[in-house]
Amino acid sequence: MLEAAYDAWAGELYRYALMILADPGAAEDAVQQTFVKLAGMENIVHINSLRDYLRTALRHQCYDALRKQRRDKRQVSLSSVEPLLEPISPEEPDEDERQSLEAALRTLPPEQREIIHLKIYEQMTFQQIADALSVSANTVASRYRYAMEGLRRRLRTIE
Amino acid sequence: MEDDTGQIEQILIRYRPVGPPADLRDRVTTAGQPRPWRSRLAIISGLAAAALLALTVGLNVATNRLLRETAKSLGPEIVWTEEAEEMAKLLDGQGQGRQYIAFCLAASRQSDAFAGLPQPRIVWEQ
Repeated sequence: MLEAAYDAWAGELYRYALMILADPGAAEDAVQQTFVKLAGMENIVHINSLRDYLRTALRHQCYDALRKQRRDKRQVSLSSVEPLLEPISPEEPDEDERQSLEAALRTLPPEQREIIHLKIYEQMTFQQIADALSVSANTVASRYRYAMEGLRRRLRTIE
Repeated sequence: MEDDTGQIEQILIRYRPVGPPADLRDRVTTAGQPRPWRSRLAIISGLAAAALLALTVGLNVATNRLLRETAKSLGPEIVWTEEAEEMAKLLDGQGQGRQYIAFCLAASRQSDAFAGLPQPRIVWEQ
């Protein structure tokens, strides 16, 4: 069961965690903890949507990890310099652009990176994101606007 | 502003977040399996708790028996006479006076029980 769930959803869950945490090592831990909790559950059959459950559990795991990082005043881990993004078409990789974009993304708050991920990479609408995160669509839209503004400012500085 | 957002979105969609490392699957599936040492630990903890409970009950029973036998060996209970009541009233007529008289009666009964035994020699230090 665990293997099947991993094969079905680990990819999207890991990418989601990676965008919130901007740290591959922390994202791996969060995904691992989420699946371990799932394995320890006795009433999995009562979960209506395993995918939704895993996404919500992972999100909590990510924000818990961020709170812990802030509390421990942990420095940036070595894994946070590993790449966050990969080009869709590997034929024409623009390494400078990728690095600039990653650097700009890392400066954003996790909540804004999360919205970018859901909007751009999961192609969800503002309303769908609002429903998933239990916030208003206006909040989602403003976070997205701030995120775009932040990226624009940061990318201009880099240029 | 809209153009800027469009440009940023165009840059973003040329990339995607990297996927999980290949070894994560093994780590997750291994960590998710029940570990035999965990169940052994649970059995050992259960046995230790049961042994501790049995010991507690046993000690409680033994203590109660010892108390009963000690009380029996000391003879009948203190008889509260009219004289004892008057003496208690002379002291304060309250709980403390009654307690003191009860203590004296018990001590007197004990001294009767030890009457045949040699008395300890008391030496006063200078």
